Amino acid sequence: MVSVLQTIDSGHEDLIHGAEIDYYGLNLATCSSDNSIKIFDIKNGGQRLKADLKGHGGPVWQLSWAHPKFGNILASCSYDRKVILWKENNGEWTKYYEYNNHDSSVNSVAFAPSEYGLILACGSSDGTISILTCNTETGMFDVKKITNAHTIGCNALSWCPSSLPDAAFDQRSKQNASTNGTQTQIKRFVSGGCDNTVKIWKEDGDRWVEEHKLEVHSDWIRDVAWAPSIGLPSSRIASCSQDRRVIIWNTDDLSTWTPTILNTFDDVVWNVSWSLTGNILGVSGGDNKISLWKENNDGVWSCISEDAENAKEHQRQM
Amino acid sequence: MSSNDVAVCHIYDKLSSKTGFIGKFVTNEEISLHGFQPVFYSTKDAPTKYANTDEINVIHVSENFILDDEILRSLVAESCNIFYNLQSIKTKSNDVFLQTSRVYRSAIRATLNKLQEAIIDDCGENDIKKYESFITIFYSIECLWHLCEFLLIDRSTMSVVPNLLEWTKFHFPSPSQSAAEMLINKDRDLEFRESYWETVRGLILQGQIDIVRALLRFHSSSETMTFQLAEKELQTMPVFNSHGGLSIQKFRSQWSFWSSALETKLDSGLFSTEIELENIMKLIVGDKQAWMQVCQDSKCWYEYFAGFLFFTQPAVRYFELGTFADSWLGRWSSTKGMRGYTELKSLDLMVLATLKNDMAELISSIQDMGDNKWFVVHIVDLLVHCDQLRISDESNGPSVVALRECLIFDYGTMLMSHGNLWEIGMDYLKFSSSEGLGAREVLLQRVPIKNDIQAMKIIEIARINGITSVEQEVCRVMVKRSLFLENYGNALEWAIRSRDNIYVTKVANIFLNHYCNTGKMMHKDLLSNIGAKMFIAPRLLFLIKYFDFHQFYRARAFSQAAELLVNLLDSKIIPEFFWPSLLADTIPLLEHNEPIIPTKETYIIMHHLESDLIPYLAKTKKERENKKEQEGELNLMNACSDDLVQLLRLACARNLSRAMIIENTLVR
Repeated sequence: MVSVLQTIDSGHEDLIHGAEIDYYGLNLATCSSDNSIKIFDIKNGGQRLKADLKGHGGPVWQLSWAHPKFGNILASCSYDRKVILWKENNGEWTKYYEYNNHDSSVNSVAFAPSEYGLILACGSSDGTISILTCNTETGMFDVKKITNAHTIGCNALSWCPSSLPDAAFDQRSKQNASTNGTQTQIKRFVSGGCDNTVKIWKEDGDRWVEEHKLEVHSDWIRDVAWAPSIGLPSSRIASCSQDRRVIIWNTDDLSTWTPTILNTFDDVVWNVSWSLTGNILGVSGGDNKISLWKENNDGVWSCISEDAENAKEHQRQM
Repeated sequence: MSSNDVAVCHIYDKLSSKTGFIGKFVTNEEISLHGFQPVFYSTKDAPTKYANTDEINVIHVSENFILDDEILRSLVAESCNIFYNLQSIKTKSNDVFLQTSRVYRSAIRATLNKLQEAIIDDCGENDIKKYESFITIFYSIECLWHLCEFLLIDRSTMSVVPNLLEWTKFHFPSPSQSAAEMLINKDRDLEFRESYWETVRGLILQGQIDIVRALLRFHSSSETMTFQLAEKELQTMPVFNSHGGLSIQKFRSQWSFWSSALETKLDSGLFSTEIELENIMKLIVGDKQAWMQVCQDSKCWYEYFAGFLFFTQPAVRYFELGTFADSWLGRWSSTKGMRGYTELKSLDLMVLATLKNDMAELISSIQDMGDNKWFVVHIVDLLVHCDQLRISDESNGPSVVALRECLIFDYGTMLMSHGNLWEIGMDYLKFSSSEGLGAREVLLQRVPIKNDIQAMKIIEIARINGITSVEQEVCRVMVKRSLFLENYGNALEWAIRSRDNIYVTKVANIFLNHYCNTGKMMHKDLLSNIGAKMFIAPRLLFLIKYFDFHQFYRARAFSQAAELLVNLLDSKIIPEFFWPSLLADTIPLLEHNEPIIPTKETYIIMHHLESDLIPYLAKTKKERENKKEQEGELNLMNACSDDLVQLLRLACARNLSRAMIIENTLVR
């Protein structure tokens, strides 16, 4: 039985495009077409507005929270071509860094797994992807750019978890890596764009290179989500598209990816998301339903539950 | 596992009903929804038509979680202990499993009692409603668990009927209760009570023959022929006992002999003077009409099932139960005027599935009991342990194990995702599959840290379970949080624990900066107790050594202070911003009444004065001019930089001259 836990009135003046919860689930940030970002304290089922951030000159599309070990940091991206990092200092949220080097709307921002440091990837309608790396010692940012990542534009980004494919139990190498301050792990992320492709990028020395180009979708990719790792050697990515399909891409070695079409839906699919342990996939789209999908022991995906938003007044039933 | 039908939850939001909506996972259990309209390349750059119309809400939904209720929490904790013990037992014997099952059951019973008490004591209407629904859930669980216990877990008894009767007695206690009350009061005129015959009949239907006899003796006409005859019949009634040494065949012939004799007596009208008594005797011989009659008064299908078996199939085995249950159910529902099983409640069906040993059906339906799968996890685990879980065909051996792991995984991750129960969740995941071990690492990092004590607890548990990466991350978070709260002592302690150079340096810098700006050291007691941990980071080492210098100086051990200070100057671990402060500290030593610093060391001071301090001061001056002192951060020493350089040069010169004189005199 599923029920409403909490309803938060965002107080925005226009539609919101993103609502993100921080690492521990204590704060909620929302971003809207009214160009503003709001941060709420939602501890213990309450709702208290902590900050109303104005700094963008256009609709704000997406937000991403950094790991709390870097402090309270939020990244936002907007139609105004800017990416802004906001930081809380002594209870005040202020602009911490502004990145202005995109030529068109920035559609997606995502912080990398915290083990890699404070790294942000930004995907833009100008077809490029920027990777901003903060040197936490000096507070300076280093910028790398992938030009022509997706023709017409990049819509979504998602990072590969840091403990892939074999590291969850190999504590020694992990510990060494973190105490030495150097990471042996190769950084990867996945992006989806208007060229109907899903691409996997990896860091190679001081450049980012395209490792794989996954072509099955027949229309714009709207969202991609790399599944969290819980110690299994395999890895998977979910992608959804305006072609109404959700595809699960599986790999055992990060070199060959096999697509499985999860389902063809009645309408465009806007969004895919994994539960923290990566065993349930949430899918939502133009059919106004969120369906939850789980893989059974035989590797078959089935829908386990559905939340349907219903137009009828005050209808709340299980 | 789960059935084909899909759970649907409807949510209403005014705005979303017009725009459409999207949702996504925000934690392991929660989904966040909000109204949404897609943006296309053709979308106009203008406010949408929904601007300033309806409330723009973010809605969080999740599966109902009842286990964090105060009363249920203690059940969760207790059952976790039982579960944990079961995983670590070495001898796999029937007794151990039976014992474990009983402990589980007593935990459920205790919970039911607590819920009952809470309803009596309480107060709030909402709580009462909630507790009543919990009672319904856990009562069903108790009922089914009890059934599973003697049918599946306890393999020592061959005959199921006595156990079934016990079970019926427990769950339909009213005949026993009213009989006890009647026997205690010992009225002679018991039969005038309305409930007398009802009680007697109830007892017969539960096979409690001895109590029936006792009650009959209290009847005012108990001395009559009819009653005497009944007493004799009941006394001689053969009772099946699997330990009695009688074979089933022999018992069956004994029973049929006895019952046909009774039937003859009934037919010849020996009991016709006492209608109620005759009725009871008819039940005993399995008279169809009489049983139809009682079925009509029964509350649910299995109320008199055990009694019926007792008089008609006393030696029935578990594998035969299903057939009898089906035929009994058919008969029962025909008297109720129901068609088939359609109007049976879910508990009725689950009892039926258990009696038929239809485990697939049972497990699938107990997952939807609304208990957050507490029951299914624990019963499946126990049944797998005692190797009594058979789902459909025999070839499914490994899938039962997989099912158990999967259930434990879901239960463990659910507990870990809900604030207060994460430690218990950790214990469960330990016994799940390898994914469970990975999930622990992911989820442990997400447990919201409320305070230092909890942070320590998370670290401790991470250590016990060998998840080392968590410790460092928690420490780093605590550093940031302590800094945010301006609790610098705490920040330093956590930074040292994290063993992360960058974090330690950052916090040590705050200490040094604070000293530069105020002339005061923070948290002296903490600094004096750091010991060997100071070697974690050069900056920390410098901080501690500099603190030691202060201690020497304060204790008037000037020569040691001077030696340490000169060593520090030459150490190459001095943060740039600290040069003014550190060199200023040399002035009182240089100007001391009796020269403390020899010539060689004085040269060192002079060297650093010229090659480090002066370039630094020049640099900061330039920066300040550039920024026009926007920053406002005022280093006391920087403010009077020119004077400082003058003073230092003078002090060095004076000390040098004095030291030279003394040293040269001594040599001669």
